[in-house]
Amino acid sequence: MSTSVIEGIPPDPILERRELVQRVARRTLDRRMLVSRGMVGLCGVTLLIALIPLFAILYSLIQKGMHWWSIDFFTKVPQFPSLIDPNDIGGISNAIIGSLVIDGIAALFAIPIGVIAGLFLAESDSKFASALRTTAEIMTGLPSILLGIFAYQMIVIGFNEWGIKLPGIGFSGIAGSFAIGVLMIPVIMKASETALRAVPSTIREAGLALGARRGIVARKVVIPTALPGLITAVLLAFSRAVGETAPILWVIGASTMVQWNPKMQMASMPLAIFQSATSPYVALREAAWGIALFLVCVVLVLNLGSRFFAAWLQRERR
Amino acid sequence: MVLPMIVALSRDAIAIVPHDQFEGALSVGATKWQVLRKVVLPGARTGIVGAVTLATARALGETVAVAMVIGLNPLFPPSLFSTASTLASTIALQFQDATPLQVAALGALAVILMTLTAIVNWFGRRLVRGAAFRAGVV
Repeated sequence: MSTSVIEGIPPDPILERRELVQRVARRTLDRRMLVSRGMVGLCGVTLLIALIPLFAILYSLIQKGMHWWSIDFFTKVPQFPSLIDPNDIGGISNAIIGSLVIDGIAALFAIPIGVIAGLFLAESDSKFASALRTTAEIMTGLPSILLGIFAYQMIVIGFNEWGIKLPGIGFSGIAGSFAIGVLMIPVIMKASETALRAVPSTIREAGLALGARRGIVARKVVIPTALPGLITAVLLAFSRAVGETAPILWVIGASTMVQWNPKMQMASMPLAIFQSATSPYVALREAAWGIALFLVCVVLVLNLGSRFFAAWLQRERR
Repeated sequence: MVLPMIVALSRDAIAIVPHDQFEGALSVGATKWQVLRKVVLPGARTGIVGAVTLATARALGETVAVAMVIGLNPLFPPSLFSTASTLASTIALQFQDATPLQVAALGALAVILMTLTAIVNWFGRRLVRGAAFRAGVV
């Protein structure tokens, strides 16, 4: 089979080497394929292990939380269980309204700031922009508890140092909105920068070639093109902010009434979970599952909704 | 809680390894695992280390989930199985009814926590960005 056995032709060192390699490769092929199959299988197994917590959480949420859901659970205000009916814990309407108002106000000021700052990051190549980007990246990684302390010092008890006086406004929904909004801004900034950078530079240059100024190109060309991505960015940041507990832990106070006025103390869903889960009443501890299930559903709907909406918008364009 | 983060960021790091290299290795007879082990993982190593670093920064600052299960131990924990406290959980659990002196002490903890996470985070970002930059995807 080898060429070197043909008479008269001297053995070719290159061919010999190739043959040796092929022979060794053939001999080890079975072993290598076996190892490969095993290791790729192992990757699959670790993926399954990684998925176990997710499904375990979902399972226990649904199993322990679903039966708390009722009309009363969503429309009544909370009450402590009495001796007569230890399972009567009222509802969480105050927490739902509180979350709605707090996160709504936070989104109202965080979205414009975040998107416009993201536009700046995407359009500018200056030193300032890269410093801003680094700052935003570090801020997205900061523990949210620090924002809680920050909001408490600055907004709740006020700030009185270095001759700057900032009167505190006390525990209020506004203070919570501030903390949540500060948390959202860098996330929106980074995500919208990515979305805006994904706009093909040919489109941008076409606009410039027609004589439009950069501001007009940004407003009339770049932002409309990147709109699906921007909406996804904003909704993902919002859905992350909805579930944050630590920033509002001390700043929104507490309220057992349905409270629409953000200047007053309010309740919030993540905080309601935390307080119920650590309360001394068995029924309240169990009801925390119900609130958690609702919060997970809200976040899931926001998450999936943003993706579907962006995909739908992308399709409509074509 | 950091597991999904490591998965997502590592996936990004692995995805930027050029496909040509993958196919090139396959074409000279390497098996799938050999390609992953010898080509893809070395190429994505910086990005994966960056992902783990970022996840560590997130873990350092994880507050409420830790605070609910860790207890509160003001002493050095004798073992891994005893109640302990982290920087973030101490702040979360004690801030509510702290005396002014305690507030100042917790503020100092917050400064330590912030410096620590900022450094780890910055380092992780640099690794991830460096990996993306070298692969030509910025």
